[in-house]
Amino acid sequence: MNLKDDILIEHFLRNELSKKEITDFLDRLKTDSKFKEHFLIEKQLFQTLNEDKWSFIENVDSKEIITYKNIYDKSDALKQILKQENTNYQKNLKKKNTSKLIYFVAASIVAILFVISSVFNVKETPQNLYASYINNLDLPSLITRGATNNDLAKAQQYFEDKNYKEALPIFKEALINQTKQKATLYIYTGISQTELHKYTKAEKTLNHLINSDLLGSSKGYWYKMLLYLKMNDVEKAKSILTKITSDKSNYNYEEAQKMLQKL
Amino acid sequence: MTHNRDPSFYLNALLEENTKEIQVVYQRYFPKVRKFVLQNKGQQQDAEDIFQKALLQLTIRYQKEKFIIKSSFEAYLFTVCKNLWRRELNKSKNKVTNYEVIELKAENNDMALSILEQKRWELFDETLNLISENCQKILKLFFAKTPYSEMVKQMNYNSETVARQRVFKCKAKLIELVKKDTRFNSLKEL
Repeated sequence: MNLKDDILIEHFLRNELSKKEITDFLDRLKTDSKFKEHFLIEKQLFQTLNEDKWSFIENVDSKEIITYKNIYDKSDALKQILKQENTNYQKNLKKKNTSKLIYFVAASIVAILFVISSVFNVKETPQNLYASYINNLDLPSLITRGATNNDLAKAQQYFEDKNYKEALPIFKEALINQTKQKATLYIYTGISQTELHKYTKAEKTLNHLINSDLLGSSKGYWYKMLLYLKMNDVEKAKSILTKITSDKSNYNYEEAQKMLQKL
Repeated sequence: MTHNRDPSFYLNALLEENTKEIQVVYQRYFPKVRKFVLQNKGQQQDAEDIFQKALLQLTIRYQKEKFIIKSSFEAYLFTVCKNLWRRELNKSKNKVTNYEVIELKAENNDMALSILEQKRWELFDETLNLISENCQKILKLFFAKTPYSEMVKQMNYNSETVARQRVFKCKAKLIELVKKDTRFNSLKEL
């Protein structure tokens, strides 16, 4: 093989020949067997070693092909197995990916909420705060040993059953007639009024407690603050909380500090 | 530990239709093949087809001749998949350009041909690695259709004429070695 022919083959393989040159080239392949042999191997090398191409077998007289074909013909079972194994693998992968995705989405939501709450410092709503305290009240009981006032026991039961309408008149009457547990009675009354949306009256009741010299009068601040929460008046609630936190001896001093941060 | 298994371990597992190990093969090697196919104009379905065809090809070949994989099983399987995909892509190219149309042969016959083509690829690839490094380098540029002007720059030649002569000599050496290989006889085209 000379360089000239080699360059000619190269031009042919790279599609760099004119129509006329291609016709001459193909004619020569028909007549010049040496040239053809060289061309075929060049072509195979070119197509095999160029990553974008592939060298197809075109004219090989090989018993090997028949042998392989015969094995392929008898391999239906193996084909089925491979098909099934592919299906199994892809299915499992999908399942895994789905659960991964669910996990990822859940984690993302948590992360996003976290970011939102830290960036925008989302506060709890006053209503929620109010509810969380009112549902966890730990008030002193009004039923004392040897007490004769059965009404008060009844009122407390009403109160616990959230039947404030029945409870309130009894508390109010007791406030007039009783001398004991007055601070606690004010609180029961104030809360009942708050719950019944009698805000002005509730405020008045709690102010009475605050301005009294009763033991536990500072509790009045706390419940008045809750009243303001219920009224959605965050500013007033805050100003009371500030007042509570100004004196360590005040009822719920520490709780008030926490609450201030939440608001 | 199991990652470095002898390549024949998987060939035997395929031959014995050991579904447990076939799953292992899928778990370890399918993702890379899928990635390759998707990056080269293919879809998920193509990747699945190619992988199945490759496993089938390995099994059938191993059934006929207990060939030895010189590299790792992973590298070998990947090459077979890559070549099968190159083959698929060029199949459609051939259909479109109508240049030496490939007849649509029966599938089993087509797959039998793909084995011979793979063997030819192996012969050429191995032979290429036998010639000098310098020759390998210039031939790789040549087969990648690099213009001679570019070859001159990359290989530090004086002129394109020098580059042409180098390509000519290296190619002659490669062809000489290919022809010497006994495998070439059964792959020779008429």
